[in-house]
Amino acid sequence: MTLVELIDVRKTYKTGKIEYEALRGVNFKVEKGEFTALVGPSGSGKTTLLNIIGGLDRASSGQVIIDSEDISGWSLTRLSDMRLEKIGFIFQSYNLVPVLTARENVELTLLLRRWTQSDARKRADELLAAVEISDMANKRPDEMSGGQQQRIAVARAIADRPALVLADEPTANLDSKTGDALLTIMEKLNIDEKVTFLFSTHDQRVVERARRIATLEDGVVVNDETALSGAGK
Amino acid sequence: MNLLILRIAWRNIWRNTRRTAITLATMIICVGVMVWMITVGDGAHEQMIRSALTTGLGSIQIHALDYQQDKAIEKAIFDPGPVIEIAREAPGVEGVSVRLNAFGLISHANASQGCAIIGVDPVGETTISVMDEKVTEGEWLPGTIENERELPIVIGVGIATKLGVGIGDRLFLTIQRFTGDTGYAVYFVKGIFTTGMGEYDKSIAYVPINTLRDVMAVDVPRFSNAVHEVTILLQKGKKEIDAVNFLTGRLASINSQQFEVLDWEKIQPGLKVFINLDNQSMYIMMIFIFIVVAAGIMNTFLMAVFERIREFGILMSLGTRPSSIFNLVIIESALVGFIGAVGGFLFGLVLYGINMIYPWSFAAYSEMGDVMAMDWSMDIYPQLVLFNVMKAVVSIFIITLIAALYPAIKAGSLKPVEALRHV
Repeated sequence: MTLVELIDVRKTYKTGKIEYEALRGVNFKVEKGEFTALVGPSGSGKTTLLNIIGGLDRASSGQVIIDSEDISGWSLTRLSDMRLEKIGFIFQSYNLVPVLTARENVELTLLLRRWTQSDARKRADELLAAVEISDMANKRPDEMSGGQQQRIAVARAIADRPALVLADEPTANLDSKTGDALLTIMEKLNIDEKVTFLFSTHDQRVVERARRIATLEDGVVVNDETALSGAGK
Repeated sequence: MNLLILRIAWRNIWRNTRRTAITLATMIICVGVMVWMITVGDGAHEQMIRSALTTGLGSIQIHALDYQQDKAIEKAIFDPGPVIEIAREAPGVEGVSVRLNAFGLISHANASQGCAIIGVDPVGETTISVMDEKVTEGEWLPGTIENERELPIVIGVGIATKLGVGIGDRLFLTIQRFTGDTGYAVYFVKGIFTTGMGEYDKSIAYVPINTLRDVMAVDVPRFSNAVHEVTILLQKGKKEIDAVNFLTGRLASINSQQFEVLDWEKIQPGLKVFINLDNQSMYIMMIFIFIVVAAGIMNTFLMAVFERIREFGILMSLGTRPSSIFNLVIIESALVGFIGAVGGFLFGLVLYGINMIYPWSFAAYSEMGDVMAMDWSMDIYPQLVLFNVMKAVVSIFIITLIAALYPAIKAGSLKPVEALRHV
């Protein structure tokens, strides 16, 4: 079942009189349950594509269909609600809320989704255990390493079992051991919880584990193949 | 969720402790000083009013109709008995007395001084004024006159100085009579008063009302019981309007004569104008304080918003609505505003308490009494009128919220992708 469908999506940035076309007519689909890596050189449009799929940015033209709904003309509020309901984000630089503890960062998305405090607490603790970081539950981000923060970010992204997790270079700032561990956790969540993952990455380890690899170059998908190896193998 | 937003807001406030502390200190000092100044103003005004009311003005005066307009002596209340009875029944009455007003010339040896000669009921007058307490030499007028040949008069210290007289000295009074011609009487100085109001002390003399009437009403039996004022002093804090309404209604039932019932604001509008002007200057000071607080808050929150643009982007990426981001900034400002307003209120109470122990003294400025009808020799105590103080404190809180509107709108209108890219 198709979760994401992009039809002739274009994105043009304007800086003064200079225009830069980051996406030039992208056609792309993501099916439910996929573990997909979006690869390509820097500036190829990977992050732009993820931002547009996540409703953080708008396409200049084309259709962006998420879970059968075209979100192209939606208001900021409606896009926020869509992200809250359907999408989890994992960023390269973790992006945790600095004034909240690890547990509270995970609870945040659940409470935004109107979970009760006690249920949110219970689920947050489960997730912290799943990403093997229960002992840091009461620490704030500035008391944790990059790997620990990214585990929290993963727990936060999947807290309410979103339909789609968009992960923008999630392992870029992590050492290989931590990166591997995190990928294993995400693979497990993909298999166990049926969470769909779409990565933008340069990291070969991610590529090796992905079941589908799409290559973006100069704002166009130039290659899209199902990997021989990967999570689903 | 609201609890979590509150938690985030609270922790955000204390992220930059020094900045928040400076903002709060500014607010607390400004609000504290403002609260204190309001109590000083209210205290001074209350004392000013009370001083004027108890130095002859009274809270309410009942006159014959139109007396206030020109103070013509023939516009008298001819039968004051029923009027006094009704006046005593008015709500909140502390004291009632009558007065007969005349203008005359007081002479002694070769010196003379024109002044107002006020005939009073010596005992009744003490229930509505403090003039008996202002007698600094000799005594106040006696309740009964023991020697008809030695009629008592109490004069202001200014008159005594001008005429060069002291206690027991003989004064010759030339007084305008109801008939329009001139009457004469001899009085002996019984007491000399000092109010601290130079003009008052130079121009007022008190005599027993019967003795003055004896001079003024000769050959005009219609005026044999006449008074010009039935003066009422209300208890502290009682509203004049209630008593005025009562009296106006009840006096209408007296068919023999029409009356005017005037509160002190109508009798001496200058005092009310002065208080209003003083309040205006207080409001101007408050506006400056509001501007200082608003500028401080806006600056603090603009900086806080600018520093946290990326964080707002994170919250938006998680599905937080723009309106919730706006609310978050407003809640933060509400917390700062609440702490600042309450802290300032408490600081103001401390200043008020200190001022109660060490009141202001304006004795050096006693000549101002001529302008403001107030005895400035008294110490001025602040007065805590909670409504007035809370008006200012709540205003500061609202100003804080208004000042945070712009930063909040700015935060709420961020585009998620741009906010996330912000460094």
